[in-house]
Amino acid sequence: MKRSTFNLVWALALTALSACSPAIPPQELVDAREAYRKASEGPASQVSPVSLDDARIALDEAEDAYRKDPESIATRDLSYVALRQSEIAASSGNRALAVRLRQRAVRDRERLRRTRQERMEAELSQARAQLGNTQSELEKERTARASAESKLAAAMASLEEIAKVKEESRGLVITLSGAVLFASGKSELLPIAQQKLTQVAQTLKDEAEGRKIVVEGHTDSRGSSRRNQELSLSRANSVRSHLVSQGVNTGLISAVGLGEDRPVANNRTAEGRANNRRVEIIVQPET
Amino acid sequence: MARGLIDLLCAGRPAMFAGVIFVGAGLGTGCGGGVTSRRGEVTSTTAAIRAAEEVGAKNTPRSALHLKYARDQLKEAQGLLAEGRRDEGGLVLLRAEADAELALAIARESVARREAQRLVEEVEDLKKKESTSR
Repeated sequence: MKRSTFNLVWALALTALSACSPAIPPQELVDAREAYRKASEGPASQVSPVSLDDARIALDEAEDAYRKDPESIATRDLSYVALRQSEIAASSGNRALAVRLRQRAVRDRERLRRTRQERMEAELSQARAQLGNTQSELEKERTARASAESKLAAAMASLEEIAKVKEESRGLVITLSGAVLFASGKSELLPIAQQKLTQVAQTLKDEAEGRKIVVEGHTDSRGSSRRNQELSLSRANSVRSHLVSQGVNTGLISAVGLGEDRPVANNRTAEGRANNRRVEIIVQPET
Repeated sequence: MARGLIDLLCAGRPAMFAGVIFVGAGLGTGCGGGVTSRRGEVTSTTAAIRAAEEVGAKNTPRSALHLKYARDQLKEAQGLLAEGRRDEGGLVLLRAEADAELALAIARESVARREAQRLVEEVEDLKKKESTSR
């Protein structure tokens, strides 16, 4: 017979016995019987059978005392004890259920923690892979930039062999001496000048793509101002034409003659005048 | 009743019965020793009260009430025993011990329930965190 069934039969048997008893049972015994019935119907029968057995034994003791002397102090006291024992059994049953619930929660918690840990590890692994890719791309970019800077430095060094290169607020200024480019009073480029300007054109195509370029012609102060103006424009146009012929974008390059108006040195000395006879190529800053 | 007492003591099983006090110490030796404290004695009742206190019976209203009953009844029993009313004193001691054990059981149940509740909430919290992080 199952324990719960046995407990129920026992409770019914006790009730039947008490029904045959002539005296009215004390309230303590009535309460103890009811408490035992409740406890035996609760979780204690399944999860805490020992405490329920103790309660049954205590109730048995109380019933014995009642049969011997229904109105004795012992009957009331033993009924009181039996009531407490049934309450203890009920409480033990509830406690056992709580312990089971706790155990299940511990298992769930561990499972969730494990899942969370695995997910975080997967995310970390993915993040590391992404970081690796980013670093790789960054390294490629860094290498490309270093290569470009190196090329630019080489181009500038090459340019500085034939011209002065200076960074000013109006842009990068490449100054070519007039003596190198033209014969005195002429605006046709000398063969050696064409070679040098071809190098300049190459650098401009590589490093100044998309930027506006202005070619300025300058003279010294000898001769008439009008003639100097015409000569400086003519020379600037010669340089512009050569650069365009070498592939510099015609829409982005213009020529201007400034004559003797903007000397960079004293026109009284031969050296100063030589410095003033010049062509400046200005690569304007990116807008 | 004496036979029941010997059986139960020798089996080491708690049982409720009256008249423990007047059975006396002789029964303790009747089952081959090893029994130092029996139900319905001052020492076992005091030990039950102490156990209930240690588990925190004072912290739960219901167990605190039964702890109080146990203490009051222990005091009452000690008074009766001092007056030589051993039968009545023994029965009151049984009541006191039963109340102390109930206080202990309720306190333990309360601790287990709180702990289970805490863990269930922790699990729910983890579930929420897991669902929001996905």
